[in-house]
Amino acid sequence: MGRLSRLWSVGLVSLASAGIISWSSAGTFAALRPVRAFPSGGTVTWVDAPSGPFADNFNPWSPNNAAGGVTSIFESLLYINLYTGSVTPKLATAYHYTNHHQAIVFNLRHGVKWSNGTAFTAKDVVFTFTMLMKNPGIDLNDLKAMISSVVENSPYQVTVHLKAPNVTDLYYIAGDTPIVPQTQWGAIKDPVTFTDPHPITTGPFKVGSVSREQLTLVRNPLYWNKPEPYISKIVWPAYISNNTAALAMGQGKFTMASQFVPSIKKVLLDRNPAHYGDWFPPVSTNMLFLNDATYPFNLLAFRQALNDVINRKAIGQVGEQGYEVAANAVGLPANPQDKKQFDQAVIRKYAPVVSVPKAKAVLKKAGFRWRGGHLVSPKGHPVSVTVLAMSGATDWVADGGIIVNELHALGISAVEKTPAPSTLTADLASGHFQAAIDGTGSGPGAYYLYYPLLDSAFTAPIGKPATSNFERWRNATTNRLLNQYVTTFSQSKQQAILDQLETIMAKDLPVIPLTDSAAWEQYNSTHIVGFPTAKNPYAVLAYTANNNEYILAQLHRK
Amino acid sequence: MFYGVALWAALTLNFILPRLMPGNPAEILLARFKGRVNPKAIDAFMVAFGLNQHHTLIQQYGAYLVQLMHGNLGISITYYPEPVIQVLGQALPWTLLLIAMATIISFLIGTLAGIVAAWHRGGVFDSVAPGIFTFTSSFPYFWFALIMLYFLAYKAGWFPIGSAYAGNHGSFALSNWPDLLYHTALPGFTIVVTSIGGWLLSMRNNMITTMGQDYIHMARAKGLARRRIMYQYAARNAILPNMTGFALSIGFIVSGALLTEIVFSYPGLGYTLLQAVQNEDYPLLQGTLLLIAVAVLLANFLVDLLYVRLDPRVRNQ
Repeated sequence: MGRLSRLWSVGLVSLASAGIISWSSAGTFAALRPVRAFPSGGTVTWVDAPSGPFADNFNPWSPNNAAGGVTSIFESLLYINLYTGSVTPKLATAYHYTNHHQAIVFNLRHGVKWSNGTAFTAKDVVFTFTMLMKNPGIDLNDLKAMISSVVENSPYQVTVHLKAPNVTDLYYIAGDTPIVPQTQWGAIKDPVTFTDPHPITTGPFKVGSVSREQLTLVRNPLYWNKPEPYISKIVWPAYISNNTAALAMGQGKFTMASQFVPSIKKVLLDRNPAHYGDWFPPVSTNMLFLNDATYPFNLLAFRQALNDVINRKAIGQVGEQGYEVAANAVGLPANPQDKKQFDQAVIRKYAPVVSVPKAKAVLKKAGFRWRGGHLVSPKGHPVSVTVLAMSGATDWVADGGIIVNELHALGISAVEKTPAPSTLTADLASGHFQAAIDGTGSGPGAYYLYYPLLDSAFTAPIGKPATSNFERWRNATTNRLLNQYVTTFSQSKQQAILDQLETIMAKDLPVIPLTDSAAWEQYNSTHIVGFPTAKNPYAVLAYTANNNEYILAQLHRK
Repeated sequence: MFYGVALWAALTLNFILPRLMPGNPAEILLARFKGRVNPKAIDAFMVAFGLNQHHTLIQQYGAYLVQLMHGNLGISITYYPEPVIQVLGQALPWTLLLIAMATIISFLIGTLAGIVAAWHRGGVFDSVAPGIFTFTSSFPYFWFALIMLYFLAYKAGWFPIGSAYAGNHGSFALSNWPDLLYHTALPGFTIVVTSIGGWLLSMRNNMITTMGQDYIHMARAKGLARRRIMYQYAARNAILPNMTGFALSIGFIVSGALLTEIVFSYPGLGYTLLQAVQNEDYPLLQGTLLLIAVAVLLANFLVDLLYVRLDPRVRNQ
């Protein structure tokens, strides 16, 4: 056994280095060969609340399925890991750009069968993209704006012709577009309202049964990457509240979970320290959104002063119960993929230091005064700030309380308000707020966080709805850099652009980064192992459909 | 006539109220995904939800009334693309099972206990029961339900932690009933315990007033059987106000018991309503409110009819 398990671990390493590469302008991959068959069988119970009552809807583009969730059954051309940044070939085995980056050629995998037994070919890929481009209601990534046409070169090769060279398109096209069978979907009149109750897939699992209270996936015996998957069944019970889910987990009714559990050590881990574990990998960033279109937030000095009094470490330790770490100056999460793109010089130079005297000096220089301990703006008005944190997000509400106290130290009359999530969303979109705590987006790299956060395309004047640039940052340099990035295919030039964007984040403070935002994972290794953990951080759970699918295929019985 | 006007008013309010909420469902959906979805998807959501067409409120109101006349409640946003009718149809049986059963049990036990307590006024039962049930009725429901869930379901493991049924046994087939009742027992118990006091007290007090009436003395003087006086003479007259209360609560049964459903993860209409509000799901919200309005009006209508049977004076007028 000793020798075998040693071989096995060596094998896993070589698999990692052979099959998985860092992604750039072209990728070819060695064939994926799992080295050893783990024992098959076993059931995984995944607690992911609040969820349900479930609807019998597996259309991967249906609005409520947009973030994956229960539709982790389809495969895309590539699996682009949003945590490590690595790329694993799925339905495509290789890709390369041609025609001055105006087209991407994908070689497709031979021998893949749909779960109904028919063969997967280039026709399915062409069909999927063409259908999405024809139906704006399901074109979630706006493929129509990037692709001019998709053509079949041979049964196992397609070319995607782009409207313009754009390095970021690859993720959306190859990594975030599940491929569906033409034989089934081709007969559907309206793919927007189609619920796909009996999905046909190439993935490791297919739908077992669906009720309002429980959903199950079962092993797909026709899966191409044998011997994956090892698990025979995955069960999602519906828990409409976090409390019920936490009680069920306390009773041991979970194999893995993606829950925020307060005081997790006492509540959960200590019940079975030998088998229960948790991992909270950073995937995006919690920001204090400032309304840069309003006075005095439009003054850099004011934003700097706020930045100088906000204690990120205290927010991480107290507000976030130590589950999330303090954010860095550039607002990028400290995961392997983003770390590669950190400008360490900028991070060091602008490392946040909490200092009330420094903040006061900055304010004074900008013309702010104090009257009876109250901060007065250069225009002569007393400064007051309302910090919004959505009710129900107890950690953010606690963070807001800490920030309010810190603003008091500057003589600002600050209060915290906790509107309902839908009200906060509306306030952020319309710009009727001063400061609010909210998370950023994420993707395979720093650009995907910065672009929706900082580009003017995602903002709007106050009163009109902004999509994601809620702080209303309008800056010509920022826009120019973001535009330059998408047509830059050299990694070193990309990094030079990112360095400038990171400098803008740290120096101009369009928003104030608070903490890294974590994904929650708890696991129970009594019967099943293979979970991503801090020691084996191969992917993030409950993040995107592709990540879930990949993790589920790695789990196996002890 | 009255019912027609009331229904129209309810329909119109159902239309107006959801539209007074800030924001729109597409924004809320995108926010719920917490950055895991491309922000550009908001355009696709708008198209799918039909929010990209700019109709005036008047046009929307007209379309809404026409739809209703065809019995079409629209498509739910929370459960897109499921029709609202189907969502309500899935949730309604569970609410009826749990809340109706609990309300009827609570009404029957409470009323009966009230009759007995008043009849043996000053006796042991009369001095203990109203006290105990007033006490249990004053429990904050949320707190009581959580305590019961924690001790009886979580610690002791006597009851399931939540849900209306185990696994996929979600149909009302005869073989599923033991499981359904097992899942209903604890939430039902919490509703009964916290609502029984109201029925008991009002019944007891009505009975006492009634028992002071001349016709009761007359019946006693005639030497009628005690049982007959208690039920046919006193209780029948005393129950009228309780019946009104019962009819009203039957109407409100369909609105579900939001707190019960949340604490016990029970898939009923209360939770559906909450989801509809949180997601600004106009069609589902309209559908749920319509169902509640119709149920309350219907219950009122039925109680009017029932009164005629119970109270001959109404019949003569």
